Amino acid sequence: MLLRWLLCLSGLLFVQGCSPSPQEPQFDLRATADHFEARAANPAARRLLAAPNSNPADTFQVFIQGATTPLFGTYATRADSIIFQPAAPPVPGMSYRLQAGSSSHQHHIPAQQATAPPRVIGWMPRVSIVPANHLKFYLQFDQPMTQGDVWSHLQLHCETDGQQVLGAFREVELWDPTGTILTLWLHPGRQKTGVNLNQDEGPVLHAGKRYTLRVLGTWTATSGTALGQPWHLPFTVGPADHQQPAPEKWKLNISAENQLTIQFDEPLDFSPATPNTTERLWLETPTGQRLPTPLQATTTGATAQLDPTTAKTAPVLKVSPDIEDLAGNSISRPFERQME
Amino acid sequence: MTANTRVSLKLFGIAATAAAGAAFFLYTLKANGAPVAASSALKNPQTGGLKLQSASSLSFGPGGLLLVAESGSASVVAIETGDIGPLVKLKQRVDNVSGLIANGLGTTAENLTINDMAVNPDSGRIYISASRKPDNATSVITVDAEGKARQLDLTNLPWARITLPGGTNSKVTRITDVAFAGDRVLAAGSCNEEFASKIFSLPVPLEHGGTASIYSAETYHVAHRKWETKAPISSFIPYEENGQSYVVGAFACTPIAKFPLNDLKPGSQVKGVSVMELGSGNRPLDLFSYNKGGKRWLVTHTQRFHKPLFGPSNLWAARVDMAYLSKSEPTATNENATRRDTKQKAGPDGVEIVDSLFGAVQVDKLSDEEAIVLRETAAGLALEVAALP
Repeated sequence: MLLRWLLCLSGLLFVQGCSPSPQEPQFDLRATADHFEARAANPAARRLLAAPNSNPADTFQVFIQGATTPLFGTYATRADSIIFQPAAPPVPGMSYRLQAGSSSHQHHIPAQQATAPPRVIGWMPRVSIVPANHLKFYLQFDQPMTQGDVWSHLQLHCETDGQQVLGAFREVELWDPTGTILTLWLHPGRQKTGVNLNQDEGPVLHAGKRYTLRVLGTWTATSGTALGQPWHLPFTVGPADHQQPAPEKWKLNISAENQLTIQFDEPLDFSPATPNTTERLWLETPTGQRLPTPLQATTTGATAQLDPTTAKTAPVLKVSPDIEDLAGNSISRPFERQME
Repeated sequence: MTANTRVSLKLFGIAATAAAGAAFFLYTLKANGAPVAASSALKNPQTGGLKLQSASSLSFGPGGLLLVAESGSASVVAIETGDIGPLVKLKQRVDNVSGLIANGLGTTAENLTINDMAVNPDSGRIYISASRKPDNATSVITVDAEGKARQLDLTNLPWARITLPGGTNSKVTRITDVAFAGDRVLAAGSCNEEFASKIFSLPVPLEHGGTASIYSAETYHVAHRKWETKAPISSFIPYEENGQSYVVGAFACTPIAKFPLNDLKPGSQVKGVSVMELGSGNRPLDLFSYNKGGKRWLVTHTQRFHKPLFGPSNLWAARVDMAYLSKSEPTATNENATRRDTKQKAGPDGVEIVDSLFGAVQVDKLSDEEAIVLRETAAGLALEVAALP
């Protein structure tokens, strides 16, 4: 009998197997896609709900399998039932134990059909050679990714030396609002000349060596599906860049089809989040009125499709001074500046 | 431009010009006023319906006003919790808090990320922001004096959300710290497209749907003797001295610097004064101050990249006599700023490692005598009260 009651309390037997006395509150327990419900099944349960000092959290609790702490959440008491809204939504594939009065119920949420694994669909910079003082990469996925420990899924390998570069990243997660684009900083303290980490640890990248940025297949999307296949971005490192971008050296051309192409003087830092740049590159009329024509920017240049009228009205390309190259040198100032 | 480009420009009438002036919008701030009760800290508050997208940083204002850095929306969310005391501190250590919170969120400890922790100074109640894998579901959890954890029920609480300038266009994607400072709330942020130091000022009362002023900060970097215009502030506290309002910030390469906020003119940058260098290879996690022994102390809680020094963990803290912050003379600041003696547990005078904070994953001040620590143990994270020296 003792074993039977223990099984009842642990939820391993269903309500009907526990034979509670009619004086004990009994509930019909069920789960929906986003909440759990305990509905009074006898007069004792209805009296319990109607009691003036009744605390629904004391009456109705939901546990994940193996847990002794119930789910956090909020309760709403109705005339004959308690609705429990968990703090985080129920997870497909998980089992839950619902406990109310003398009633217990095990509920399993079927696993979802496997969703397509996430993929890297974009990245910056789009060049094969980066400067030794290169600062950051952007990775764009086709679906929101799990956050919180991305560093366990990212590696930088020096192929020339045949070993992983440890401590390569600035471990602060920077995501765009959609959770699909990650900005990945190489540690600026190591990449910036003369900073104590640079002196103590050395730079992350060395000119003349080959590297691979690796995204491990273990990383999951928020759907729970992992990449499966690792993703690699090989690149070579050139000399450090301490020169500022020089717009006066950019090459501009308009094709017969009114396609404006801009070739930068050096690779510049644009994110996949804002290829359609309006804040840093835009067109104006000769009288200073902003044109709605969008510019599509990538690492090495930008393009815009002009309408024939605009092409004939001598538009002016405006360039924000905070545009940076891959080493953080902006048009307005170099990344590393001596004390004034 | 090349000759060919000149031809093109002439032919098609396009000229490339660099727009003059940086695109910063700065406004003069008023001096700090008296602390504001939570009941008057929100303007046009909303009630109910608050769903936090994320909670990267937590802190408290007076009267139970909880400030949440919602990095996903580049916003600060202020919540009147109604948690106004009386002050009752955690009665005993709570073991395996990570497992307890994970189970409460419907997962296991290995699938939980603790984002931040703050102690309500009015009640002693502990607030922890946590996220679940893989779906990034985020909640704020409270732990009371009995060690009982529960979700912060937002159902009926007044709240206001203020999105930082440029935030919806993803310029600022992580708010590294947020703090109440009398007549304003301050926030520090990192941008995903720009390695830059930004300080935001939100006027109090905090108006739902309102905006913030933005400052761009530069600091003299003690270690490499250059003006550091780019490094983001990792953690900060508001600070007042002789009627001047400051932000005291810690940076990834661990200088401590103060930024004067009075008398700022639109278009200007905030130039910080470096007053202390704590040593290389550390990442600041939290700052707080307390009074003891007739002195005011600044505690810097830090993660060391390398093997531990002078203690059992690479999570460590030092306290600094805040008299160092009063120094303004060139012989004691910037290139001449005081450097912590990294070979010793203490030194120079007024700078020392705090033994009781070794292993702290999160720490926040409880009182001038004690702090609440979320500490690494062999059996997971434990929540406990730690004495301050």
